[in-house]
Amino acid sequence: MTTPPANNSVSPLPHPTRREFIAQSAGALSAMAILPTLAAASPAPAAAPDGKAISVGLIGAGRQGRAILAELATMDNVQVSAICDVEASRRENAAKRVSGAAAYASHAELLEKAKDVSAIIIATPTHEHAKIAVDALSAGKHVYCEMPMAHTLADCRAIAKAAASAKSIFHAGLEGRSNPVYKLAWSFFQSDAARAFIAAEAQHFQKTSWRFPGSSPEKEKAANWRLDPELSLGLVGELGVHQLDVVLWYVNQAPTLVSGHGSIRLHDDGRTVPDTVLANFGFKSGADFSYRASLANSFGGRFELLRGSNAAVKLAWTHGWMFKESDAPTQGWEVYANRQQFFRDEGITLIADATKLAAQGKLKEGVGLPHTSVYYALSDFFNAIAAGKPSPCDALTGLRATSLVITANQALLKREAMTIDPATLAL
Amino acid sequence: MGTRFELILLDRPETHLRAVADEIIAEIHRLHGRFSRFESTSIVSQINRDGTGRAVCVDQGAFDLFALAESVRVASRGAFDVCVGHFMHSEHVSPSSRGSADAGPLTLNAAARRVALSSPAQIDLGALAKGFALDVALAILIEHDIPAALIHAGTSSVLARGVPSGATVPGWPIAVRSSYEPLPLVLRDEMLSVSAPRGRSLSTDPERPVSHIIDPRTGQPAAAVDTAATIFPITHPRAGALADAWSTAAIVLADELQDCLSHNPPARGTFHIHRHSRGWRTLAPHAAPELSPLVPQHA
Repeated sequence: MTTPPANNSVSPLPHPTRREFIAQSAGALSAMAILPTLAAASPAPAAAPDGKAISVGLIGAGRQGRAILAELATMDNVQVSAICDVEASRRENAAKRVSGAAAYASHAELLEKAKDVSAIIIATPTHEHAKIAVDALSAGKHVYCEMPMAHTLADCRAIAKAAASAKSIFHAGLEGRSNPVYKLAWSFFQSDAARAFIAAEAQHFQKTSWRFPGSSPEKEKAANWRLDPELSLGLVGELGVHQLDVVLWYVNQAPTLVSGHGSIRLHDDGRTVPDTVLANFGFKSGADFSYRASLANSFGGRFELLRGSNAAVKLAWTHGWMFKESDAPTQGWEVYANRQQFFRDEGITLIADATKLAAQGKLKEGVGLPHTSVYYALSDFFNAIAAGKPSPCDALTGLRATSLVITANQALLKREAMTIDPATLAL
Repeated sequence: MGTRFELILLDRPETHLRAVADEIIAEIHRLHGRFSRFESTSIVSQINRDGTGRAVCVDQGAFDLFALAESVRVASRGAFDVCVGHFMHSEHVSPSSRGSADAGPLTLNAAARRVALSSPAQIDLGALAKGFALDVALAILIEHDIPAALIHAGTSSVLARGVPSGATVPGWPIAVRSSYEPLPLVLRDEMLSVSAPRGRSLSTDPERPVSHIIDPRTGQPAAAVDTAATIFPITHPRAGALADAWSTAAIVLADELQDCLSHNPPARGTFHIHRHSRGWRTLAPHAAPELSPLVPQHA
């Protein structure tokens, strides 16, 4: 039997009593599992060191900002006391969702007037991240920044440098790294369960226009920054950064080469930013990661698939599965694991907190996370603040992933293979 | 919500309309993620999992929706209850010892925005989620100045805004189906919700369908009313959610509806009820408390 990695603890289930054993059907027995334990899948953020709720300012009250507000509302020990957006209607709508929050039209005004705010969450368009992040870090605020970090390498470096010299915490919003299912799958991928990294693929398919309405030409232009080739990192940047980072994390190596192409397959409305892209990242080992994204078709949705010589791991944000090769060694617990059939492939469902749930007879209820992905990322941010420790997803991690997608976007727009300069992946 | 939404948006450039439609669809997906009991990450799933042991903190929008549901429960004397869902998924529907309008299983703390459940209740917002989604859609239509639109959810919840250009009637012509004759309507700036015991059955025996609309007060299927259609003007806040909730309540209340409405009339709603071969009748509590036949009654 292979010894699991040091950060992976295996806890056998308590032995059932005779009454419990008889009461369980064969189907229920299959729901028992012996899986690595993790921290609880609902990590409520701890309070700040002074015992008070962490006071938060949200900058950017668009779609993602509102989603973040909904998650913050469910968190104890967190209080949203300031909201900022340049657009009055968004600002007012967001303020209605949070009682008692002051509303500001600029981040500068928020930083100047909302002195009680200790943590800033940046959910603005990507090209606005740098100035806000640098100003907030300079003001001594902890910063959570949505990804991609910035739209240029220079801006990414500016943020990373400011974070490096700041005493406060910077958290790059790469949600996969905080996701309990992804963390569980990571532990398997590091172990002999997956073994040698063969290849990876990921996709983000969703049929939508990516176009936002605006009540005036100026507002429409501002709202559609994703379709502005001067500002946008396109699908590979805005969507792919999260998925590429998962691969980087799992395989613990950076690609050395990227190529690809993009085109308009459906939304021929005058845009030049491709609505369908393919990017290929090559690693020194010979493995590769293939990324596809499209606004023209929804089949398959969003997932990452990492293939090892012993098993493949498929991750779909709130769900995850492991597909073991028939000749892969078994560790014993697989016999009892929860499974799901995908045509000819049978996947072991990856369930965070499985041991605890199985002991309660609730394993099947544990399929799917109890919180959204952004909830866990925000929790990690607030817990880092409370503990006074560095973020588990720091600025360098954000810089690395963002730099790669910046290069990838350039490569696919030029339809050229580009070598990745390792110097761009660090300060 | 597990429901097909269809959107007809008119009288603006196509690119703009598509962008607005995409925003509405994105919001519907978000609401599904927030409120569907089938999504493990939804606030409803969280409350169903954790809300018995402790009160769950929710955002203001979610709290307002639960508060609306509770207000309709009280006003309908318990005929509408978002916690009735667990009856619908039992193999055998049996009488319940559950309560009256006075004591519901949902506990709301407005100051702290917390929601708690009394065991063994489970929340299912299916009876007003579609209407709530239409309320959100309406806000987007208004924000982006779309003068005419028709949006429906599963053909049972409808938002009719404005008048389609070139129309020969002053609104959107809609026909509400019943097991008997249809109800013709022309909707303008209104929300419509239709409920009927047919269509979904709790029984697996096709020869013996069991209404999926359960009376929360008794645990029994409600089948005395064939079809109920409620209409609220969009000027009323949360008109869509109210229309949805009250169309369900109307099925359950049946003959009690008129008395209930005379004591606790929801603001400016209109009720069209079809009582099995007795034709359509209309109740407009704020206009006049008496019944008025919309079409000639059938014997």
